[in-house]
Amino acid sequence: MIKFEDVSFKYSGENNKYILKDINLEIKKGEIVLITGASGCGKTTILRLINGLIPHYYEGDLEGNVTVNDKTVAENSIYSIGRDVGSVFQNPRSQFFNVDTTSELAFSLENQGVNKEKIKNKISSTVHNYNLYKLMDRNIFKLSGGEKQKIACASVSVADTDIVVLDEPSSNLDVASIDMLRKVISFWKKQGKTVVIVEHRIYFMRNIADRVLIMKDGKISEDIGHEDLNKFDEINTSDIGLRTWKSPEIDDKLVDINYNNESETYRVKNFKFLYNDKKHGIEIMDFSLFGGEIIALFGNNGAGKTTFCNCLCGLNKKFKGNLCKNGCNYRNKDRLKMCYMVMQDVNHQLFTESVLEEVLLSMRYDKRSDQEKKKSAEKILDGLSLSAYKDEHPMSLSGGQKQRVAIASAIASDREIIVLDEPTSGLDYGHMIQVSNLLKKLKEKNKTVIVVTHDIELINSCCDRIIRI
Amino acid sequence: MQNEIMLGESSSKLKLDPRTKLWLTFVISFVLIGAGMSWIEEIIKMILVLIPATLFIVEGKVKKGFFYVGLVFTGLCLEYYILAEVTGALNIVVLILSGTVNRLYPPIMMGMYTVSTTTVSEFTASMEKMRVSNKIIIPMSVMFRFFPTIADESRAINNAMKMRGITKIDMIRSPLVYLEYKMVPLLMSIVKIGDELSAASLTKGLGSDKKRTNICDIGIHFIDLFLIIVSLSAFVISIIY
Repeated sequence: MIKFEDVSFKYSGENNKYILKDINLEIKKGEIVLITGASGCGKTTILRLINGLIPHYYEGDLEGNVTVNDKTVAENSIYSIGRDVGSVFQNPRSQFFNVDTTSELAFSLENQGVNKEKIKNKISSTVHNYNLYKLMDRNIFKLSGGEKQKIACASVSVADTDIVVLDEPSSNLDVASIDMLRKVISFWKKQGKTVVIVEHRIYFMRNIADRVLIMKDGKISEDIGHEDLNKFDEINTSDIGLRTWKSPEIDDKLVDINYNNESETYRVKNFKFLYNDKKHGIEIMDFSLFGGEIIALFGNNGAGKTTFCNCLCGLNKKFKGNLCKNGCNYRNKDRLKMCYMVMQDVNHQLFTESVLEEVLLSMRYDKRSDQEKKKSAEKILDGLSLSAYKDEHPMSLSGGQKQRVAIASAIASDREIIVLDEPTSGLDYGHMIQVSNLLKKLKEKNKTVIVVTHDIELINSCCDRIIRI
Repeated sequence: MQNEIMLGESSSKLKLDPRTKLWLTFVISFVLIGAGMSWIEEIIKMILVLIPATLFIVEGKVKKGFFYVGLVFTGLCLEYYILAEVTGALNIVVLILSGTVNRLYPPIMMGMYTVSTTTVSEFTASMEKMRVSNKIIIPMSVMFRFFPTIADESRAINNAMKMRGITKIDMIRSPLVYLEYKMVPLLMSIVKIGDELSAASLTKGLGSDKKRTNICDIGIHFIDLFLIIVSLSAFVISIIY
């Protein structure tokens, strides 16, 4: 069904660095294949070769031959490949062409010029199979991350391709939505579709995947077939740099939350907020914050975690809640100067032309002399192993480095409370551990660290307690 | 109003054809902005003013509809009875006030109705029926797709700026730097989203040479015909006068 023969690939612009080297791979009809490995190992490139984005959209030097359903990908148009291969992408913000859900489901077939009645029939059976009644005719921009990914899977189902490729579909999903994803993939398996999925979070593919490929530096380093997958159960996946294969559980000792304590630094009070529709909103029990601890805020997609962050950081003007300390109330305006948020998309908060300037920008209200400021900025960068990049443009760095720059500016701003919104979405095991270590460093500096996440592995590796919302 | 532009869902009860709505928007703007003050023109104006009001009321936005009618009628009363009575600066104030309410507000209401009840794919479908080329339709629908994205991104960037203590004062003190802080992240993320969006759309067959179909049920029905005839007569009469 899918065949790679001696395939090597190099993106144009990247001098002589082959992202894939001599790949030979054959995927049979109906096989569910999971591809995993550290970031940059070339797994996404494999998917792009299957759905035709390489060589038709992303340019580079392609050697060897990729065939899908006996069609050579390079010699067929991307549209004709698209009739055999459906794709689900990582980023829910950028994979929908339409603004409303129903049009998005119809989109593929409309482009193929299938007649109207046939498309409608396909849509209604898909809506039935996936129980999408509530999501029809909705504005995609107002769906939660999990709902978006459900629509993405459903639109692949409407197009009814034999092959489905998924590029890190779980990156932005909570535990419940990952479960939904698992059900969708098992449904495809029953239908006999061939599925190739690239993932860092692999536990949900256990018992579904027929085959696991582990990639390293552009090569398939291990190809574990069905019979051998049992052996995979016994090894500790973190030893080979992978996330857990067994479904992660939150550590028991974290669940025991101490809501009240004499030695609290701050108390979070009256965290109630209603959205404009006056029906939905957040309501969080009062709780204490202590200096030098890491708190995990854990909740489903759409539970209002981001709203909570915005409210806490004083970004939401209508919000009336408070942060208290010894009878002192800190209102929105005060909290804006006390909290620092490292956003999920760090690109939103990098403004200047060099990494050093970025850190200095956080110290602009600092009274020290420029010389001293520069010294302390360099020290912070050194602590986050960013010294080598201090003159680089922040936008030219890798995702992880950008995140560290954002954290560096958080440290430089000298705020007591640091909030991180989903710092590990889409990260492999190694990078997740790096983030975890960074959080511990912040804790050592006696900061109150609040991390909003659905990454249970991250929670277990560094958090002191957990608050569910 | 911004929110209404973003809405993709067409929960519209009347299901007017987008072409009808565009035509109505055009006629209402043309006639109301250009019309004189003879009695027949006043009647035409009244009829046209009532169209968007009725549409909003049928759509269940009763409050909005009546508020708008009330406002326009107040404006008309101002124009009729008060304008002739006052002189000097007050005359100009009343003139501007009644003129804005009577002549600009109805087209704005009609435009709002059109935008808030038309989904992007209905719009595309009607463009296709009007035989507009794909080279115009695709960029336009991408544009609609990008409005909400730009709004989302820009909100996030504003938040980030507030958190860094970059405020409106900086905008006045050093506007260029402020603009750079705002635009660089915005452009970067829009370029990235655009790139990923193109890739996703290509895998779904956008831009293939096959003729597209469209699942939207659009077409000229009785009610469309009625509105078109009414507005067309209004249009013709106002040109003759």
